[in-house]
Amino acid sequence: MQAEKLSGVAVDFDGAPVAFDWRGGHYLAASRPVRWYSRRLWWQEASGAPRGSGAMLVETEMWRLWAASEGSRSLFELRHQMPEDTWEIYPIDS
Amino acid sequence: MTFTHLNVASAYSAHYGVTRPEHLAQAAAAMGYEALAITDRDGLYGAIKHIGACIQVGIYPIVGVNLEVRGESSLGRVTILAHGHNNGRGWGSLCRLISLAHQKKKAEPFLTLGELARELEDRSCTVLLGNESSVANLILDSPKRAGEELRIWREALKLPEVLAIEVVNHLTEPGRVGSEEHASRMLALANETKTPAILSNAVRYLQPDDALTADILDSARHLEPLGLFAPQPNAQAWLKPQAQMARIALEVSSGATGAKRLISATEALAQRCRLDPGSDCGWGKPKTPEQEALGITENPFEVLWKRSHDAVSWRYPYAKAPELAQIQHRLSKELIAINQLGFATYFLTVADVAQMIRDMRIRIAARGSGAGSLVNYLLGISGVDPISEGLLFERFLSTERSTLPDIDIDVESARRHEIYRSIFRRYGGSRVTLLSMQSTYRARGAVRDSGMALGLEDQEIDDIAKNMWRFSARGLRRAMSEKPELEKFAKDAKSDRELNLLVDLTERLDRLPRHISVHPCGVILGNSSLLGLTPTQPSGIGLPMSQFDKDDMDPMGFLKLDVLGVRMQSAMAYTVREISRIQEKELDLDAVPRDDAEVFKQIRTTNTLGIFQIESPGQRELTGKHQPTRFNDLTLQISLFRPGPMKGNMIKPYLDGRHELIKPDYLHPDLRPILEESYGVVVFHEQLMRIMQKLTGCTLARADEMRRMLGKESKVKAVEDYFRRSAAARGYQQQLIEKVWSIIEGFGSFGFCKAHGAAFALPTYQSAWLKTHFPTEFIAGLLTHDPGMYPRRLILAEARRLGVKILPIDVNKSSNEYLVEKCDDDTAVRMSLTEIAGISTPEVERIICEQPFKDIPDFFLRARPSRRTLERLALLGALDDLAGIASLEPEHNRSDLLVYIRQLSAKPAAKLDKNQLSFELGSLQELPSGHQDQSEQEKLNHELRLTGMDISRHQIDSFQQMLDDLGVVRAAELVGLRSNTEVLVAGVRVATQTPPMRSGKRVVFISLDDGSGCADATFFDEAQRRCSHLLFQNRLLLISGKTRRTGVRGVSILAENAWDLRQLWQEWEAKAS
Repeated sequence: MQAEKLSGVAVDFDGAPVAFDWRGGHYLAASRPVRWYSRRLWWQEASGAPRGSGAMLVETEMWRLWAASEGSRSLFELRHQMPEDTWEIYPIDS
Repeated sequence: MTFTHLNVASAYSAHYGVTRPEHLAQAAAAMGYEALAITDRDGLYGAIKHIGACIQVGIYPIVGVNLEVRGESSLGRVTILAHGHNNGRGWGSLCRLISLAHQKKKAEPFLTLGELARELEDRSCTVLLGNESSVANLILDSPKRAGEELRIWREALKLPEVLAIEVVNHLTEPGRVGSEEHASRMLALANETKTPAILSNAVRYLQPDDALTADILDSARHLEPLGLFAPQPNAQAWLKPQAQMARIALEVSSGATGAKRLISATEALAQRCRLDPGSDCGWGKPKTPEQEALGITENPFEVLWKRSHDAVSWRYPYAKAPELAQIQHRLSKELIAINQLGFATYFLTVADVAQMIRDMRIRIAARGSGAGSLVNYLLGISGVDPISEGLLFERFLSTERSTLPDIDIDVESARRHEIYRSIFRRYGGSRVTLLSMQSTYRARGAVRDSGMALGLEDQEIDDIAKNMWRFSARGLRRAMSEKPELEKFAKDAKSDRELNLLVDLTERLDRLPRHISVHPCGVILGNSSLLGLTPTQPSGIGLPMSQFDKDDMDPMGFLKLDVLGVRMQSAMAYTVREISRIQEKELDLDAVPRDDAEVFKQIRTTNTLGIFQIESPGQRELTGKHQPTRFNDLTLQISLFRPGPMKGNMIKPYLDGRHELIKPDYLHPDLRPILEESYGVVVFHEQLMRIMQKLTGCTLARADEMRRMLGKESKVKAVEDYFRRSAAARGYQQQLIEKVWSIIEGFGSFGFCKAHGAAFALPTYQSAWLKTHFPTEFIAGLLTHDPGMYPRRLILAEARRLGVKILPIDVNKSSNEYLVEKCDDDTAVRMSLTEIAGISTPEVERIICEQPFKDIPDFFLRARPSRRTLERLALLGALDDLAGIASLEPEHNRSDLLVYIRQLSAKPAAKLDKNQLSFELGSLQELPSGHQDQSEQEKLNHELRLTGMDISRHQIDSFQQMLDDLGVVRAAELVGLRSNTEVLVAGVRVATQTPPMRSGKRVVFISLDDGSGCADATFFDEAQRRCSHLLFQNRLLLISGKTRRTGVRGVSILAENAWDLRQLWQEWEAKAS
């Protein structure tokens, strides 16, 4: 599944995404977003690993949630890239 | 609501945990935690450090272990937590379980469920089934099988309070182990089966940043590069603060009530597991063997009192009344202090071990400050008389400190393991275990493992690692900018992504424990409860070792004996045995008089090779300048030749005073008795203590405390104030006080403990005594046990210089040691079989077992040497006698013999049937004749090639003609020359040293052996530039320079240039022909 850049992501107090715009639709969270962390293969990309950089090199914040727009409801995976604070979206077929 | 982390792996979970226990405890306290657990993998390696750190930061320590448990199949890894406040029942169970897990002779330690159940019958521990358990692994795919697995546990551990399910949410991908979903299922299973559930974060590092370090450690554990094994899922296994743990509790239990129940269950278990270090682990309480183990029934102090008093007449048989009064006074003072500290049993124990070692007829000597104790001398622990040598008890033990003192003993290195086994037998396996030590990552190891993690080529890693010597991994970046040998690597790392990454990874591994091994000399001796206080595991030498290291001994109150193997003790014991065997003289080396003029005369020649502590080139030079005449001079010389006194520039004023070049300045008549032995120079800690005592009127114990304070910058002022005030109050002049204080202040770290020096001086004197009176036997001892810093061939050269006869290897007479043989009214040393390159231990053993042989075929049949060994034996002349070619005018020669044995060994080995073969051998033609014999030079070359030694004559002799031609001076003649004489010396390079100089420049010291002794040459900058390529490469050198007199018999050469002797020889020969 190809990742797509995501804009207009609104997050709640805990940093969980509650609303976003995708492919022309406005989506709202339809389940409690489950936060998880996936890992990165830092040894293939990093050119240094000084103290303090470890967490960012090792893992990425992910959210799995059902979200609904006017026309559809599906399961999504959202990737939160730090430190850029950008979002990517992966629709999950279900 | 409070929470406690109950599953925490520290860095002592080798190749798994990342953070040192001290840092975890400090961080936990800073985060407001009241308690913290340590649950390392397979052991309590970090537990004592954890408890110590917890006490220091004021939180409650909890200790557990992570172990694999097997039922019919593996039940996975679980955490076993010790309950506290039960007089050590929990701690004891933990220790016994871990020892049990390590006793299986399998690659990985594990427990059987049965073993665990038996130990937990008294409910002293709780088992946590966490994410590494089989239950957790099955629960997502097959909840039913997970339930069955849990039932196995519940049936085995029937009692309540010993089993809990550990819920861990590492926020991994939904549907995986460690995800929220997984944690919820574990909690649900606990609720369904009414098993208690607790929350943890299965911590393996302090902060998320450390997860990257954990990746490298995982790679080192798997022995595979990153990417080739399943890595940790993310960076969530850190020591999270309470708020985050509360949030996780909420997420996994879907509701506040459930979350609250989970956290309070966790806290209830944490409460039960809080340890009381004193009553649970015996923290800080000295543990010594029980009276019955020492064979005494009365009060230990009374026994000690009686034994030491009884020994006075043994140690001081000729003492007169005034001396006896002094001895009694000193003894009473020591005994009172020992009693006050409650160390009587400790002294009796060490004395008992010392006696046991002597009963095994093994040489023993005390080392270190312990020699300052009269009690140690009377009990036979030390062999140096502290009264006549001016050694102070207070330097060793004082009532101002209460830690167990270190009494270190040196024994024959070759018999050290024998002693360990005897200690185990004597005190029982329940009271004794060996000490372990943790080796930690330094730069070289760290760069290797980091390189492997990144998947770099072995060759590339080797190239980088080989330039990394002796610095910490953390300092790598700095070293790269400073050290010339890392220059290329530093440049490469600037442009290469992986190399730059490698540097960061290497620095991350700094000082993390890598692996545990047995300490080179430590034995722990305790009471019968020892195995309930420390877990043990097998060591490389077949005896159990504790999982604790030397830093854990004091907190645990364990008595640690340092039994260090010293090769010189082996060499001396061997010498004494050979004297007894050959001369039938029983020699008590410890009883020989310590004022033998012959011995000091021999030392003063500076031919100190083989003499303990004073054989190095530097000590040899100092011997020439110093010219010792009595035992105390040896103590002084050994003490002066140390980094401290050398840096403090103490040697020159001492020597000048000694040789009456200056008038010693004793500052004040009161100080003269203290400083007389060293001509006004303060050399020893003991002198400083006595000066303090004299001038301030304080006790010696107090004086030693102040001496220690001088080493800490923050405390110097307090000492100064006290010193000035008290000395002035006692009426000393201000000028004197100023002067003495400046000496005291400058003394700092420069001085040396006289007891150390005197303890070392004893084997120095004893080895010199043996060398003087029994040179043949002593040379045999040196060659057999190789105690020194020089190659064996130099010992042979020294033997020749001393006129000690050396006999070649002979298959009928040589053994695996250098035996002394009687030979024409004299004695000689027989070369050993073990020196032959490539000879195997079984070959040596067969030769020794089957001796004597009647002829070559007999030898070939019974000793069964390999073809190569047989040929080498022949080339070295070891078969000459057997073949009948050793006589004065033999009909055959060694070349004939070689032809013969080649025929012999050419027979296919498959036919090795003894009867048949002897028939075939019988049909072999007799020794042929007429082959060109080997020249002496060829024989010498074979010796050098096959044994590394010039046995038949000195290597340099081959060049003698040319050396005479060039007017080369012999090393022994140098001492007769004036200073500044131009000379040429030649010889075999036997030592090369490059100590750093105060100026920062390097100086190269070269010692050449030419058979008459050693010539020492110094190369400064310019001379180094001329010939540096030769100094480290070539073995045979010719050196030109000027003599430099440094003392009465001290002479060295200020080198100007050096040449390759072989090359000169070739040119000289070409010219001559």
